[in-house]
Amino acid sequence: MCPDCRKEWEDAEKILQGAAALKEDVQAAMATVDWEALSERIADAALSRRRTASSPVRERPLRPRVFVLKPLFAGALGGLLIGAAVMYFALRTPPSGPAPGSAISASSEFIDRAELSATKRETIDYLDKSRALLLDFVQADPREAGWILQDESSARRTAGLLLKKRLMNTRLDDAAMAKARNLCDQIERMFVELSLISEEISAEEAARIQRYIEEKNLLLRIKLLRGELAGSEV
Amino acid sequence: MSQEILPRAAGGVPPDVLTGLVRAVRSGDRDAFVALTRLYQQKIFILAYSFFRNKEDAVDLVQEVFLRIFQKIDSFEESRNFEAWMFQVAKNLCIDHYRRSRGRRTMESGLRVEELPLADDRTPDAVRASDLKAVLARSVDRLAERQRTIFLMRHVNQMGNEEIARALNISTGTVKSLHFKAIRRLRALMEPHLGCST
Repeated sequence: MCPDCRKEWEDAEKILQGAAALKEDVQAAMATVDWEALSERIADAALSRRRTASSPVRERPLRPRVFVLKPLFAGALGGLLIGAAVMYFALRTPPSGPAPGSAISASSEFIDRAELSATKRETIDYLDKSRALLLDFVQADPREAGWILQDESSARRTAGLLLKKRLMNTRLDDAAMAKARNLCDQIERMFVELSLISEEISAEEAARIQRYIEEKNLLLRIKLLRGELAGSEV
Repeated sequence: MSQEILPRAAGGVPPDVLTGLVRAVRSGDRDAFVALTRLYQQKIFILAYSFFRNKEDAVDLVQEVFLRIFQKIDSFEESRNFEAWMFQVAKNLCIDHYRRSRGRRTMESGLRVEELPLADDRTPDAVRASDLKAVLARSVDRLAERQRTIFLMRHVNQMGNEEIARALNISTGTVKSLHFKAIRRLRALMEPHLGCST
């Protein structure tokens, strides 16, 4: 890659990194909204507005609005329009230089590559965080696993990862990263299940989930996919 | 056409379920409206938040979008893509509010991109990342309207080019072209900062 292309590549990557940081702000803000209450509030407001609107009101009779051009103004406007049309046709020059379409297409591919690289980095980040969380659970004593799941910080991490995955789905599909999508889907299902388990989870139930994670080789598969993605990064 | 794009566009909701929900909302079914709102409120929030970068404004906009949808649902034709229609409503409201609020809205520092201090090589990564985010946020504000919308939909809403094209009712080629122009413009705006933050 020539130095200019390298610089362009690095700049595009930094812009995408910045965009990822903006996204994290959105995720943090989303975590603080009570979505169920919001939808109920909206429904109440919508129905109450409809009731208000359907109550009988006396409508004001419509007055016809007639715009009458004064002769002097109409003449000046007509002259301006004709003059502008003449100038347009007289001064119009044929386009010169290379067709913009090809340059845009080539650069779009360049940006697509930069985006693919950003998606891989994001997936690696998701895998790292997921692995850390699953490790905490797998390595815990089954009798304490319920407490670990209900710990505020773990619950926040789980919720954050579920949201992150939801936002990653389109990117994984667009980047045709089917293998990564498949494993991330499995991790997501595991987090959904873990987030639904109450703190009253029995030691047997915790041990069953721990065994399931081990039997499915989830941690190993995460590690392998992470290595694969890191190795193929540009 | 709507049959093939709805499953993905509606986030996995089968088209017949969505059509049923829309019909029920049209007949004034409150529960159906709550369900429809729950399906899409977060997507609209993300779009609104990327415009305003303020939770309260984004929540207000979510409310306004769904109130507008409820008000206009009778005029929605079932042959159209519901999500595209909804995004059209949301985008228009975002742009209206954005224009109105740009004057009064002040950034944390009130500085323009050019006035922000350049990233310092000696600062820790976290500080540089937050600088980059601040510079990008201000630069995005200076993009042309359509470029900004597409950049935000692509990178914050995580929408694909085709999904954006459907939502904005433009071609995928136009989306790609505007996206490319947005990145090129951002690069120009952010150049001094990009140069130092490696």
